[in-house]
Formats: sequence, C-alpha cells, structure tokens
Amino acid sequence: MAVFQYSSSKHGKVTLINVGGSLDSETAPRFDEKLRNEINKGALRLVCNMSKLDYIASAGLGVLIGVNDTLNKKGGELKISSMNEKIKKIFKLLGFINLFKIYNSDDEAIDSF
Amino acid sequence: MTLTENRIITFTTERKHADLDSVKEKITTFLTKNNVHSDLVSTVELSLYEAIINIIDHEPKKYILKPINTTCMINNGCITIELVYEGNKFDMTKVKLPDIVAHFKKGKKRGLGIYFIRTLMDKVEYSYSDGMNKLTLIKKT
Repeated sequence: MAVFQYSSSKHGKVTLINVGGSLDSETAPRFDEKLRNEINKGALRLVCNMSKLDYIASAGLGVLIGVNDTLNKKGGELKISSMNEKIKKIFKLLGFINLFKIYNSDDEAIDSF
Repeated sequence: MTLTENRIITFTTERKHADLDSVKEKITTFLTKNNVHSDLVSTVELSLYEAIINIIDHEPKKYILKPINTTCMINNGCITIELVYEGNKFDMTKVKLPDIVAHFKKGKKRGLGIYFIRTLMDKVEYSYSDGMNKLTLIKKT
C-alpha cells in the first residue's frame, strides 16, 4: 500500500501542509479530502511543503490544481515550498512548474502572502 | 547492441491498484540495475504507472480478471515498454491533449494520465488486433 503522510499547522492566516510519501490514484482522494476540510474550516492561504514527497502521479497533481482553483475563486491560493529535486524535475518536464508559486522554504512561502 | 537476458524484463500485472507498487518496484529495479539515470527511471516508471492506471480505470469491468502483460527492454539507445492487454480498442495516441488548467477548472479531477505519458515519453505507439491492445512507450536513453 502506498505511503501517505499528512499534517497541518497554522501560521497566522496561513495553513502549512506537510505532505509526504506518495500522491497517486490510491492516496490522492485522501489528500483531496484533507485539503477540502482545511478550506471548509476557513483556510484560504495554503502552503504545501513537498520536501518529503517521493512520488506524484496525475491524480495527485489533479488535486493540487483543483484545490488551487477552488482557493482562487475564494480569493485564496495554494503555494508550494521545499519541493525536492525529483518532484521538481517531473513538474518541469510536464510544464507544471509555472502553474504554482514555488518557494525554497516554508518561511519564504508563508511571508509571500 | 544485442539484447541480452538482463536487458529485458517481462511480467504480468493484475488489474488492481494494489498491484501497482509492485510494478513500480519491478521497473525501477530493472532500469537501475541497467544503469539508467535516475531521472529517466522516474519518468519511465511514472509513464508506466499512468498507462496501467488508465487500463484499470477505463476498461470495462468484464476484463477485470484479464492480466496486463508488460515487457520492458533496453536496446538501441531506447527503453521500450510494451503493454499487451485484452479490452476495448482505445488508441491514446489519437486523443487530443487537454489544456491542463481548463481541464481541472471544468471540475474534472482525473484524466491527466494520457497527458503525462505522451509528454514524458519520446514516442507512443498503439495497435489493436484480435481483441488485444498493444501500447508501446519509448524513451531514448
């Protein structure tokens, strides 16, 4: 079974999400549900730390794009921090690197709001 | 270059998500043992994963017990993966690739697999004969 780790913490008006393991067809629905719960609780500014993310398939990217779209409609945004090189290369190859604002650290991403 | 035994791997996959970790492990181990660069391993592994997910999720349920036969070979400067499986005829090479942002703005949560495969691989070929689909994914090494 694919590994999926998730935790979140509040930093002022920003919600920091730490996602790890694999975001694939098996785990993406759980990730989507957790992010939607954050939004339902009022979170509009999300930072997703991907330093411990080993794998992302189309289902996982679909969640990120869908959640960012929902946030945009509410005046919010999903930003990404600490993306590791493996995931960054996949994003670049697929042309997704410009779909999100990507920062080197959580602090940088949080301060950008 | 002549094909030698350690430069080809064949395995059968059941049409269930739980089998996919094993597929990823097999292909990664095979390519890594053959000194394929880790960046290429990632792209080929992901493309194969998306191809199999596509088969599992979109082929009719009546084929659920039919195996997917996978062959991966490294030859003539290319990694070639052949997926042979029974099912409805579906040629992903003919599908118009979506505008990815518009795709999700329409509320679609899935459907990017073909985009992944065709963007990550150098060539994708398809043929259909006697009820069997053959999907070939090619990546230059």
